[in-house]
Amino acid sequence: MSLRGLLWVLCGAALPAVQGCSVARTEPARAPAEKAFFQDLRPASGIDFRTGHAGQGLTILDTVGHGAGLCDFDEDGNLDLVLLGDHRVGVYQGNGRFHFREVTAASGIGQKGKWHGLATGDYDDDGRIDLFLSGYGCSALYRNLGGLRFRNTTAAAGVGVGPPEPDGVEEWRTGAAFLDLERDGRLDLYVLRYARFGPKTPQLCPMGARGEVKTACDPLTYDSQRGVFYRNTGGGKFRDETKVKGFDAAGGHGLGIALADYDDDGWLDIAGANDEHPGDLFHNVRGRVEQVGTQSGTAFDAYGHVHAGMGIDWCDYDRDGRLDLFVTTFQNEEKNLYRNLDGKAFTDMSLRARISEPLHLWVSWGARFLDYDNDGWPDLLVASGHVQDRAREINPQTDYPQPLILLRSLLGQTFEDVSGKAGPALEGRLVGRAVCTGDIDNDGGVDAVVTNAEGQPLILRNVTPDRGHWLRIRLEGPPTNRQAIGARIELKTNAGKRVHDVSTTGSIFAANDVRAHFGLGEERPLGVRVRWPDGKWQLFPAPEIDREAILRHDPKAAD
Amino acid sequence: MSSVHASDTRRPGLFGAFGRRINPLAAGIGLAGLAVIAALLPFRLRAIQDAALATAPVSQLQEAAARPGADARIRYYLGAALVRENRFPEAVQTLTDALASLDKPGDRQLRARVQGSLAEALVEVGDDMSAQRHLKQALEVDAGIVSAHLAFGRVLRRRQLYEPAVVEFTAATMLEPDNAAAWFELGRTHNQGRKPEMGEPPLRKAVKLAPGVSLYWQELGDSLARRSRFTEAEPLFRKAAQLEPANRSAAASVARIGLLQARTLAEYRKARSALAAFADDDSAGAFYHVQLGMLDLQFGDLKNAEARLARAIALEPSNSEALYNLSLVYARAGREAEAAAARRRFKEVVALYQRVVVLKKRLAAAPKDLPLNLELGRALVKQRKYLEAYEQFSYTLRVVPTSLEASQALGELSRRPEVAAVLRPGPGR
Repeated sequence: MSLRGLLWVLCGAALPAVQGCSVARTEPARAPAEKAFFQDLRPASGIDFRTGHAGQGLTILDTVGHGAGLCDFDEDGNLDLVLLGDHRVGVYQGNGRFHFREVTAASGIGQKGKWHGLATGDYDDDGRIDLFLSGYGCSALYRNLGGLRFRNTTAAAGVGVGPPEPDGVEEWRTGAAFLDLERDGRLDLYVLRYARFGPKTPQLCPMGARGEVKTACDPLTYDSQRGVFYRNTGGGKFRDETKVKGFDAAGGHGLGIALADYDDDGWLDIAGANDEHPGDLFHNVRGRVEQVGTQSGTAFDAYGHVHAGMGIDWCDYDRDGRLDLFVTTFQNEEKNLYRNLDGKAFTDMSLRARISEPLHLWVSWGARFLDYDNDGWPDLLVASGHVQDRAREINPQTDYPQPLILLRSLLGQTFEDVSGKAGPALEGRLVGRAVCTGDIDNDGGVDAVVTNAEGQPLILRNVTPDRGHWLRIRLEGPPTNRQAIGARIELKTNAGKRVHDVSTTGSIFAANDVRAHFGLGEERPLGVRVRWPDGKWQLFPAPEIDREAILRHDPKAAD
Repeated sequence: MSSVHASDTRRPGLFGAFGRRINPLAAGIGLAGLAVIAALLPFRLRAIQDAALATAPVSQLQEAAARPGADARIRYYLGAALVRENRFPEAVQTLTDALASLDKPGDRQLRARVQGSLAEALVEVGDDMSAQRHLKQALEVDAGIVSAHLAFGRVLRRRQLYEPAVVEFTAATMLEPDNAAAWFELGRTHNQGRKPEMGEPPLRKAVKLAPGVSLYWQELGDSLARRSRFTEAEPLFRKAAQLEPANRSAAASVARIGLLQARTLAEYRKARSALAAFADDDSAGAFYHVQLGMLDLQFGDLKNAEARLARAIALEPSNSEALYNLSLVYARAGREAEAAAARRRFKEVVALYQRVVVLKKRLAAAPKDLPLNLELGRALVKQRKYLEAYEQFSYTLRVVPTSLEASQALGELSRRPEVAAVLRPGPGR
């Protein structure tokens, strides 16, 4: 070996030591929590569900992670839980007291697959919430038969994956959502797809200064796959209308999906987070979508740079009556908070809202707005974890497991990192992926489930002391779309108007509690207005606070 | 954020591996017996001479070099001194002359050193291709030439090959752990390679070793600002500006941080006027105009945003950041046709950029793939990066010598003035 060659080798070996030299890691130290905001109750919850890879070289397929869903499938008033993994699905019946009984075997949900995403919705209008699962080379639609039993109706419904391509590449399905695109009362299905990965495409790629570490390849190594839109044609059947409806304009490499009527025109719109491709914002124009990502200002960061969009969520974080969009991205990219200016244009507030700094170093995935302290201002919970299991060998400043970050909203203007005060549950690190939220114990505090690509999920109970008042609203829609997916709730209080669009989407690979949660602080509700999915408004008197209100669709009252 | 004025650069590390490696020997002489001293006398004298030459001012070296019989060694030290003083064209000429006069086999070490410094000067005058040739030869003779590692690292960085550049700069820091410039270059490369968290430690080291260099403080500030740690970055930029009042980009960074953090209209207006003063002389190209235009847009000042972004585009017609934000300005103003045109142009630029990124990533996994190599060459031509395209087609031809397209492309590219200027024989080539 030449002297020069020797030097290269020495440099390669010494890089981590040299680059990490003598300076403390940049991660801020965390002070011990006084009173926890969240407790991880997983160990006592009855849930034993582990995902992981036991140190094997991880391909991009292994790194994407798995989802979770919270839904009251058996209509007993308590949220049940579905957890996804490699060739495994866990179905757990909740008792409302943070204990779950595994019912997977009896549930009929047994199809094998490398599962990623899921969606919940009553696609056949029988009043029970059905379940759709998506993964690599697999899809499954499970019709809810009641009593936490399901029947696989994938083939009959026509939503299964196609055959593999000649080179072995399969459809790679990721995020999914039920929505009534055309307002015909039937829930359609939109399924994102990721990339052309298969046995003959690159599996591991050299990383590091000298290519000394072999790990998952960059997403751009692979061509994009684009999402597929299934129109519900009734009778439990769907038809692929991706092109007809305009979804072929998707950016590709789709991961996260979130629904909201961002322009308040009564038609539910769709936002998609795309990995290393421009983000999607599909404006619903009377049942057909147009791609407005670039012109709206949500497809790129503020500089017009493509970013690695992964998780996504809508919320009116500044309470100006318009729904804003949050997108999580890769390490050293802004996590973009797009403020909705006028129902048409958005502006990136990540710097000014002080979101950028606490999240900059992390590879962030699932994110949900949740008002954990019920002060009336939505906060943010963000899960992170690297995609390279050997990340530390490439960059000693980072690692595969990463922290779970809780950002508290300061009056909808800026966010403060309160993870260090949130208790032991947020002190550890995990290879975070999905965040899904819901009030598991129905106590008025929003709880969360966070999936871990290398271990057990976190089942987080909200134990924040001195929470404010709250109100939870459950809509009972017309005979079709009874969950009222796509309905808008306007809550009028003595402090102003609050808006919420009903959906179970948001985050990544997550199906969230469909009930709308409003933290109130000391606010007093004055009344509620609901725009049902058919576009008609209905007024309701002020509900009582600190409880759940069920608001029922009345065709006579709605106008 | 990382724009640098040439006058900011100082290279305390370029006093060179040569002198440093001899110093321990000189120290050893003091401890050894007379016999050893006698045996080493010729080397010792040379060492003392070299140490004096390495620190001599340019004027003295010029005088010495002008004397009849002045050898290549004097011209080498003159060339190196000219590099230190950022007088790169003169350095190229001097070092080329020095190189031409080095024909004896015994001059290999000195030749390597001359080539290392010459390469460094060539990098600075933009002749990366010639620089690379000299660097390769110099490092093959002596892998311990710090200036060659630094120059090679800069070449690689300029081509956005950040990881290989990191290896070169790391080598320099290992050879000379007290070389502040090497630490600085390592940190700057991490910053530009979008790993500012890895840039911070070497930059802290550079600042510790050479606390009087404005640019080092500025780059350290940049590593923090890139991670939105503005509160910590601001005093570092202020320090850089204070150390060198002529360092306008440090002062501009202070103003830019103020603008990025502005939350109220009053804060925005105050910070805006500070940054506008730097933008208006156009010395930093489109950068500050884009910053101002973006913030104007965010604060709803469409008129100023349009003016700033249009000016940025006038300076850099393919500036995607300016095109993107201008399209948003037009859209907000309801000027749909203009918005669509700007958006179309933005998408063209981004699509091409993205394609180049994709091709480079795919070639990393399959470096000999002919279609991918040819496509990358074509994409670089479309981007008007003719020199890089020339290198790409040259590489393609090495991988597949029968490629007619690569051969033809090389012929066409070599006739382009930008490429011909580099290929033409001249100083340093």
